[in-house]
Amino acid sequence: MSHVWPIGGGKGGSGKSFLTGSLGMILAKEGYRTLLVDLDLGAANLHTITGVPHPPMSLSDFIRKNCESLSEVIIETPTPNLFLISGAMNTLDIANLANEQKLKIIRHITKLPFDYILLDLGAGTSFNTLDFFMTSPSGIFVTTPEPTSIENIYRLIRSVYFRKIRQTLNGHAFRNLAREAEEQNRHATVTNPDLLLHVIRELDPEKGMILERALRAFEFKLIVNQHRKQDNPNIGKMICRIIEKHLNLKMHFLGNVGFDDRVHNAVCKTTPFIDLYPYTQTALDLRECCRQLLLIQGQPLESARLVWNESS
Amino acid sequence: MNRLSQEIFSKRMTPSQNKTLYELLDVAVDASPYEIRRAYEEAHELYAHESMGSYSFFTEAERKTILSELESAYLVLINSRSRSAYDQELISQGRMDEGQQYRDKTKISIPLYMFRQDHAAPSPAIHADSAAVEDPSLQAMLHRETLTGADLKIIRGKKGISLEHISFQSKVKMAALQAIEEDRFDVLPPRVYVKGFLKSYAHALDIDPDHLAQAYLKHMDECKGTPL
Repeated sequence: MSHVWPIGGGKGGSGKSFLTGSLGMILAKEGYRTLLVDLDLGAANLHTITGVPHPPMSLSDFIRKNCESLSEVIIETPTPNLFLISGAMNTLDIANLANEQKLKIIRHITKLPFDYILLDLGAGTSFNTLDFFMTSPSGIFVTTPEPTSIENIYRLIRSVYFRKIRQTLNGHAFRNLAREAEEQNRHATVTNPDLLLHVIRELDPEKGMILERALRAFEFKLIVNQHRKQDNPNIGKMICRIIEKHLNLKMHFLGNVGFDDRVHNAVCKTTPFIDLYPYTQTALDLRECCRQLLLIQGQPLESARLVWNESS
Repeated sequence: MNRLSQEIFSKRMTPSQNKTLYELLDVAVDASPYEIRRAYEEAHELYAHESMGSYSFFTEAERKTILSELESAYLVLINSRSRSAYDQELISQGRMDEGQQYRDKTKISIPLYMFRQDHAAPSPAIHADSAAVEDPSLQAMLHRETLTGADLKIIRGKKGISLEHISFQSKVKMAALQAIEEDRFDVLPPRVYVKGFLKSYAHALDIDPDHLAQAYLKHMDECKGTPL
């Protein structure tokens, strides 16, 4: 059974693809068979970050039924143990993925035989992004320590919360409930999905229980990216506290990843940052985040190597 | 059904509902004032107007409600009197067990030497039997030109004060006081120290220190001057 970690964050440019690529690379170098899936449909560039500028196949080949199974579109990257499902050659209309195609992709992804599968999601809170994010209960949120990014994190997490309620209840019951909630308070369905849960619990305790259990199953993670020296190092913990206290969802803070101008250099050279600058603070931060991530899974990252041999 | 939900919405669900002040501040029921202060500072940082951690999560009205609730919770818990009243209220509601309340376990340091108190403290002899003071034989003894160690012991016996008491009050070692009473001049420190000891001794017995010191030192000089 593979672990699926969707990586999302609401705002564009916060470093989702960079973190997906870097975490994947660290995991692969630790000996885990790791797959990266570029689900930033319509704006894919994970292949560039992992050093595969011209991938021969992409997710579209699977959607267009050129391939029988999703495993056929998996390509190798220059890093051993690291595999990629690219979005580079996707058709131009892929961003408007039909619901059944989306469900098919999700179904196939969870069946792939890998140790870890990282999903790189796009910005925004479209249904596609939300559903991909909910493929697994252990989604990772990426934010920068800026109000714009934090605002979008909260928006994304509320959307996930809202969609989970919607998925758990059947369509009809949900619509009735939402209408009623909206009548009482026009912000209820927009900004306060927690209010909705409260109403459900009052009206139908049994359904409320099921819903609460479904929501408690989430084990979100948070990474604060592009953290500069002058930023408050506790922002991540504060966000987790707000989420845990006011939405009653589990959220672990994995760590701050330092801002480094050289990330730009690495992207320009289409070379993985970890390989180009293995001794920077940012590389150490990434490793620490990965260690925390595995620790939560109950698999401590044992070796303390900074650089890996080509053979390993 | 509609009425119920209306009730819920009209209350504007805030996190404070059905929470004790301790839960509101995220502290244990037996938290120390220091912990309460820290928890309040942290919570304030989280919900403050310019806080980035909760940016856009709350509407301005919600934020103000939360902040005022936190403040009033803090003000109740930081004051020991209002806190114990609140604890009693919780106990009577059955939401807190008796004996869980915070107790100040801070140890108060005890000074090793209580000099100030020594000076202020009245001599124990004042409280001693007043009959002893008027004892004619004692008065006669006190007016003698020289006083031996044995004389001192007799005076002390009549006053009913133990050597330990004098030692405790004057901070003079027992050994030194015993040597004075037994006339063992060879173990005593130089004359000037002995004079100090004698004055403390006299003070403890509530008799004239200068006279006692003089009389005993005269006796000491006589003994030392005469080769045995």
